[in-house]
Amino acid sequence: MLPEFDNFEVKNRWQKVHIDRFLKSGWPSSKNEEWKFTSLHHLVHKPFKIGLNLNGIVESKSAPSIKGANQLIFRNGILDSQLSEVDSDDLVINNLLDNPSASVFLNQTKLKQHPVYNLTLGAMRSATVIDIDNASSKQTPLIELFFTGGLIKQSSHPVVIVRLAKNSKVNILETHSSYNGLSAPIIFIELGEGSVCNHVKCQVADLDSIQLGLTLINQEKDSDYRNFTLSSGGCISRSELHLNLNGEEAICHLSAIYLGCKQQHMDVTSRLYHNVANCKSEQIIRGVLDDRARGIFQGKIRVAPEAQKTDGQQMTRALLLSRETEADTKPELEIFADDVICTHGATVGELDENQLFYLVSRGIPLIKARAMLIEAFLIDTLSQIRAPELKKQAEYYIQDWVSKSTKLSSSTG
Amino acid sequence: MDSMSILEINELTATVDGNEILHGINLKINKGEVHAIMGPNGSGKSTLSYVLSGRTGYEITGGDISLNGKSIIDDEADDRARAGLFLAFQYPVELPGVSGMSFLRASFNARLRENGEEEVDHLDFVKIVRAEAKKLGISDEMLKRPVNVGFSGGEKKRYEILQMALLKPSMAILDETDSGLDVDALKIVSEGVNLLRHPERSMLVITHYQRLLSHIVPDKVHILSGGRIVKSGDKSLALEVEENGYAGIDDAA
Ligand SMILES: Nc1ncnc2c1ncn2[C@@H]1O[C@H](COP(=O)(O)OP(=O)(O)OP(=O)(O)O)[C@@H](O)[C@H]1O
Ligand SMILES: [Mg+2]
Repeated sequence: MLPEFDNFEVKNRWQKVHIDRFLKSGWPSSKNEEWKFTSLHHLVHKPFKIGLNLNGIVESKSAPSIKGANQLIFRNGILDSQLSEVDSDDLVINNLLDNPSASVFLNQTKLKQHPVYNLTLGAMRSATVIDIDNASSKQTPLIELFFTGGLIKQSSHPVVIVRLAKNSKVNILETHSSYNGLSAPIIFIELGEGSVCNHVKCQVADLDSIQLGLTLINQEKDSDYRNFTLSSGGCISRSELHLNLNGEEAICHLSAIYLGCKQQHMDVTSRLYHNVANCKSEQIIRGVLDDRARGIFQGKIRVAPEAQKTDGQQMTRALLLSRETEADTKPELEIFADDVICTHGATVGELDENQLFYLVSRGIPLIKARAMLIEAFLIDTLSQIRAPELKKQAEYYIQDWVSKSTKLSSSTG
Repeated sequence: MDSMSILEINELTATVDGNEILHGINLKINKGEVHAIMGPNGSGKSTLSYVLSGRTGYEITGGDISLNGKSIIDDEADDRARAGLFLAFQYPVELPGVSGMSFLRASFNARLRENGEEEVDHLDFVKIVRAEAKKLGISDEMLKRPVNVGFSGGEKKRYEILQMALLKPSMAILDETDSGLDVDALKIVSEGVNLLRHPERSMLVITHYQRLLSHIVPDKVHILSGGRIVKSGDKSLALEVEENGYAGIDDAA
């Protein structure tokens, strides 16, 4: 069922185009190759009302808070400036919807038919732009983007744009801890020449919710982008990332893990465009599935004809903790240049009996032994994040999920 | 039940994947004693060590095993370990992604908890480990790596003995701890094991070679063949095997 747009008034007229496009195409079905494994047409049964105000509770999971972070708190997709706190002089924050050129900036031809893109651009109430120009600063500012909500029949459509000027740097912690029924955020990061960004996203929302996050990255020359994404929330979760390498010598490291239990449907999708020569991309994906959960990774790497000397690596591994889970992987390599190194690999396995016995033979209880091996399976994904305080958050959510999952499976099995 | 015995195995039969491998083992090890088991390849030595330590898939079909006077055949592997049983693996297992220190500490603390003692924190534990590691020639660098990952064959065996030194078991089974060790490492490891000989600690040493037994001198030697103990004797039995092989012994059984 589609969200309800009766009597809905857009903030800016051009948003109407996106709503119309969305309503015309509707939720994608499995006939749409991009949504082959995640047919929202069949999966979304409820109608949602677009979140228009700050109603509802602020819910937060008990992750350790980060001192000195610039906190932007979004409720129902809307920036709550009362609760938000920005200290750093390096950051300039505006609402792009106040600016008539917004439509031009946000227009992405490749995404013209993308349902989440159209829905959120149509339904958004504000677009928060953070400009960073801190090449000469010694410190790297930390931005914490915290998304929450309190109404189950509501959908939220936050849009955040982070623009890094030449040689600027920033660390971003993005947390989705929402109780909204549907959450479809768009995070857009533009990395200027030589800029550096560590970006950790933790989608740990309520298990009843639907989480459709879209992350859009553009990288200029010599920029360095490191993303770690954890998804453990939502009955339906799709974490989708599109990244354009537009300047030479740019590098990106993308790590994603999905953690699914019960009947969760966890989709990780990446679209990587090597548009110019001499760039490097590395993707590590790990999935852990328990009960009857389903996990999907779709990873496209497109190497343009002019993108010679591209180095693109993609490795995905799934760990199945129960017999009734399913993991699907769809790598898509579209290589139009001849002098490139592109590799991909995928494995699916279970916990190793031999390793488990080694641990329990040392007196370590089975629950703890399983947890140790699951965490070990995931640990590689954090190796590229260069901000310890972000790493700590990710580790917290990993450990939290693993300890709950191993305790549950020992009490039922 | 003899109050002196730590391990007592009676008429033990066991199957692996439905095949009976152990056909009625009887063995008694008293407090402080070191026994050796020798026997041809495939005779069931490692199987016995797994059955004793409670590995899943190794099914006991008859007989009994008791540790410190209590039957353990219904206990899980981790319970048996915390009750004082320790197995040094013939093939130690690599655990990529599991930090050596957190692994060692988890097993160390599991034992402390069992005994109602307070767990040790990371810093105190590092000191304890370093002291033991030094005796076995294990470097700090090795301690920092994930468990057994990238260790040489000899390093893995030393790491097993390090764990034994930390866990202080009352009954240790050493499955071919000498295989893969060079002459010097054999000496270091044997000395490490000898340091752990204690009136309250018994050992069952599985080996193919008399060489090890000249370092770790056993109180008794048993020959396992075809899933049965076919002969028992004192340390001279090991010399006999070294000289004549198992042929003559099998005949005698
Ligand atoms: N899963 C299994 N299914 C069937 N037979 C098995 C299985 N595992 C082991 N065996 C058999 O059990 C027998 C005993 O094996 P075990 O490893 O205990 O021998 P061992 O005495 O330790 O030999 P070695 O000296 O080579 O280490 C062998 O014949 C082996 O093939
Ligand atoms: Mg063996």
